[in-house]
Amino acid sequence: MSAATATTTKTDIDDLLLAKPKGRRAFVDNLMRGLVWVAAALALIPLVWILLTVIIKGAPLTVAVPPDYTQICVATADSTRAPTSACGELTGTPPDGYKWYWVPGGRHDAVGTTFNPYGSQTTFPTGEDVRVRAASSDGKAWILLPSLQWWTEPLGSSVDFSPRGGALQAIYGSVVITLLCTVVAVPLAMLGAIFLVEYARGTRLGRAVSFCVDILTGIPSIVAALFIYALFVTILGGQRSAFATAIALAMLMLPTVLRSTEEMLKLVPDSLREASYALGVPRWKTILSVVLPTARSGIITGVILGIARVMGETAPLLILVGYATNMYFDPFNGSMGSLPTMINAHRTTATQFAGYDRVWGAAFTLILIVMLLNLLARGIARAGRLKEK
Amino acid sequence: MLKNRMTKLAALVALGTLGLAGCSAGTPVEPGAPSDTTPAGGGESTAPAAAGGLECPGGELVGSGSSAQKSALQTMIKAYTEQCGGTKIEYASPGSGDGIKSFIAKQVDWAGSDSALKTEAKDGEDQSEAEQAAERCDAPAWNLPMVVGPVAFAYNLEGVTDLNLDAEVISKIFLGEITNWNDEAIAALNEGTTLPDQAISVFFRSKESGTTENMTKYLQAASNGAWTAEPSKAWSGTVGEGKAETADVADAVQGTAGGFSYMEWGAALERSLGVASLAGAQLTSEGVGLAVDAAEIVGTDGDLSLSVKYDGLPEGAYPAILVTYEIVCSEGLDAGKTALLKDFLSYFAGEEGQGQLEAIGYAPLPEGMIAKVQDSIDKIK
Amino acid sequence: MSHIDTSSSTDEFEDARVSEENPTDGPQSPDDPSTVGDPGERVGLVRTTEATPKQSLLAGASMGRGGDIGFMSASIVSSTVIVLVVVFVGIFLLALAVPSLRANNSSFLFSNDWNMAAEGFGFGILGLLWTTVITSIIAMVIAVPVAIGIALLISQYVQPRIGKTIGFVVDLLAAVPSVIFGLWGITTFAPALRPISEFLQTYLGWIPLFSPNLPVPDGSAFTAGVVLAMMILPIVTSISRDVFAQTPRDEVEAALALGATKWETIRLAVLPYGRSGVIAAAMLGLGRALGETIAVMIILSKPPTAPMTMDSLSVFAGGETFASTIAANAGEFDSALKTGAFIAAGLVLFIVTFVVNAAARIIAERGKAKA
Repeated sequence: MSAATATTTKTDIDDLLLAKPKGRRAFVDNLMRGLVWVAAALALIPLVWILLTVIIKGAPLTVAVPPDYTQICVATADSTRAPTSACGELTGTPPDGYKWYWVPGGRHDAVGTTFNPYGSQTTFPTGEDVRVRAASSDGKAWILLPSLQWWTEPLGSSVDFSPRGGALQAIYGSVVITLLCTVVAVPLAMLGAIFLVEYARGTRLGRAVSFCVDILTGIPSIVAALFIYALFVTILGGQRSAFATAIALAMLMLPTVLRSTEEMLKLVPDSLREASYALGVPRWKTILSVVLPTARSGIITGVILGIARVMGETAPLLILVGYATNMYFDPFNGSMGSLPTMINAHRTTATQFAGYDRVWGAAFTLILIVMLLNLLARGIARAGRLKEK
Repeated sequence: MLKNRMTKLAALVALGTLGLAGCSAGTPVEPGAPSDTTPAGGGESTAPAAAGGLECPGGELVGSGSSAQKSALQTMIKAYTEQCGGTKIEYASPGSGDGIKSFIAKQVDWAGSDSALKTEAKDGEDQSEAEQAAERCDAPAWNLPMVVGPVAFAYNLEGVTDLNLDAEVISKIFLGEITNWNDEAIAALNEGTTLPDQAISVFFRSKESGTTENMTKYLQAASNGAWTAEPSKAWSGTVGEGKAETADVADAVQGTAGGFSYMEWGAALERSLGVASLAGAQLTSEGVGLAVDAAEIVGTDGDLSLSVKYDGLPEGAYPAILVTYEIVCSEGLDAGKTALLKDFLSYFAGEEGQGQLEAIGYAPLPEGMIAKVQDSIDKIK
Repeated sequence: MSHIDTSSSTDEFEDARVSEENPTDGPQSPDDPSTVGDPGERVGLVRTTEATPKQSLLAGASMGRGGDIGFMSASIVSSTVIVLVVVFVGIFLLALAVPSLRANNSSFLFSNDWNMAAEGFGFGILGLLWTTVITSIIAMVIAVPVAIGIALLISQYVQPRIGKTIGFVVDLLAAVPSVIFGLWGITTFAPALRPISEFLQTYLGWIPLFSPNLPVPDGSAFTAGVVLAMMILPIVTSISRDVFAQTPRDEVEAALALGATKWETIRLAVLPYGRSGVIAAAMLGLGRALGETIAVMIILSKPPTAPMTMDSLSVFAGGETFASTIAANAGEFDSALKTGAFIAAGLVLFIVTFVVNAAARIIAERGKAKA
């Protein structure tokens, strides 16, 4: 495909439609238009649904924190929640037939719903710096206090009931592991793609290497993880480490980056290369300063796609780096937290407790990081293009 | 211009999110004079003098294993770390088998398991778990019982608040011989309750689980021959739908009319699921305590593996219990870790530690057992 | 994800494509060919697809500068690393799987036993194969047409700005971790899908494929397949969208010159040109569906006899896939035979995915040759 021909969009076709046909052809045209719209709408509903769920449940936790306990009033006769005013003074004794309960976290149900006392306290919670809020709404609500603890504190020894503790160790771990993985995979992938396109295109050797890349694409993440475990831990006798995980993830990332780089490089016209040689530029310099920059934004897309995939992988992380709630800084030895394993560890918490909300917070953080990387990459690509102008 | 648009978009999203999430600010409550004079339910002690028993050597420890004791361990680690700052203790819960494997492979410092290390080699292997662990430690590995968790048989039946079952009936349910809630065998145990005409939907743990193993041990011992399969971590019933984790099983029971399964007590409590009594014995900590009292120690030296009795227990004893152990090296961990391990386990086995377990669905160890566990801990080098 | 952007080279090749960043801006510079609009000017720059420029390229290499040798060695070394990794993974899998396969008392490919005890050791992957294939087929049948529809919508039927927003939302979905799909799938989506499952079971239940099986269809292969479709949709949509937008203007103009309607233009110009790209995208999606681990593990209900029963060939039955069973049991590999059995299952998955990928490449290559 020539780089010089324009690509098509809706406005182009509309501009060039010459005559409006009638009858059966018009009917088919409108039918297909309707079908495309319906299919897209139907599909987008659950997609937008899950995105909104992640954002609504996860975003609040990244900018706020629930209080340690929520004080609610319970009618003892039928164990249902009563309005807070029914229990009188917040620090006093409630009248007959009512009782104060302190529920861990910030969520409470509506007045009239059955109350489950599991995990709640019957006396005012003790401890320094305990934050207690009394429920002020009669409906179902989630009390939140502004805080950036999500970004500044590790989870530490926090329990699933307690809303204290942030995700710093998970964010750090995810970033470190992904960085290591990218540093290992991207140069390998790009050099491999360059080999396939620039040096070995059409040769037997090139086909053999391409065949191997196809095989690599097919390795499921769990198998890659078991292989690296056998190599690093069983045979070489090492410990679990973030580095081992990065290698396993690099095995998963490499095919994506390699294939997209390869496609981009193939799209660069040979006339460009020939022009460069005609000017006396050596081969390697041609590749570095003419071919690669031409394909730059497509390559960046491939890298971002690879990073997005690898950041959400859980199975290799569980096998090779475990899960940690404290901060550990050494990527070559020992466990580390990460966002997907944090999700996995806390997804079994009951939905009314703080641990469960952390799952969505971590998912939201993942999406946020990938989105920021995406915008950053597009910004770099655009800056590069502007510079050339 | 793009930055401007993004900022506006971000602000919009933030506001919208907070609004949609039904957030409120609540009313601040200042801790004034204690309002309620009833004694603290969970044995919460505020006096820091209780820390006098702890040495707080600090350092790092990593453990792994059973998910049945996950809440217990979380609570212990939090309480211990609050009293002894500067400690980093991790506990992951991929399952008892995984924990033991990691322990043998020197990946973790101790393992949490729902059963003691096996002393017989598995088919095709030449070493038993106990032997492999001894190789890892260069010394025997000890099983220290720390947490007693009852296995709750949870059900979802509208309008039925009290349900009584026994091992024989449960075995038949799990083997597909009883398929409806209004079956005569169940009705015979529940005179006075009308059971609805509802198919029984059985759920089980599809991952290999210590909870499954202990539950089937109970069935084998107490069902008068109705359950013949060997107790094992994998499901050996003939009906049911398998779900990966306890929470998945509990959610499935909660979401299916007529649902029935076995799980840790805490999981049933969290979701307000109905819990069956076994042969008249209600699931309470006293009932569980009676059953634990009847268990015998079969381990030697510092090893305290228990043999639990599921049959012939005193009246009111709840028979389906599982004892979870912390599997440790009796010697051989490096000095810093050994000191921390001993200190942490002492806290765990101590009165303050055990006292916090009741509120989260476990039963504390009986006094005599605690003393023996403490002895073993002291013997760790 | 941005379009495959080939216009980022020199000014000469800048084209008048309505760009993502500036949807309302027209041609950017006076040298922009779109203002000239003379097709003749572009002829010399069109690259033939069948060029074998080896001679001209290698001529440059023979200049023999140090940089050339260094660079070539670096790229050869990385290709070697890739090949070595694949070889070692193959050796690893075979070394673990072969002893178990040799000790297998049941038919590996055609039975559904799973007895891990030393006596009577036998395992067969028929059930696993069935569940893996059926969930992936459901995912593909739903996702591929819908992805093509969305891609067409974005590139052909709506304003570029709206299209860009929809594309951004779809791309964001690629970043949602699979655990979340599993969690949301089983707690929120499965109950919502129940009415549809029940409808199908009632009206199509006489066909064995749709016969009712589980009491509540939440944990069925059908639910898992639909959630998988949602997981692979972003990949297929994203690549298809790029491919459709790259349809050369000449082909579209040719169709329109013949008096085609919008749909006919799409059918005549856009779809045939994009065929191999869409197939490649679909194969990437299929690869992900086949290897998806955690989401499937959370959603699917495992039948009571391991790994699954074949008494019902229904999509509304539960089951286990290759990936989910390995992940669920990875912590319990306590004997060499057992480990080997699961690894052998992994090997089958590996081979299935590879065969599908290779087939896709061949189809894609043939498609390109035709174009």
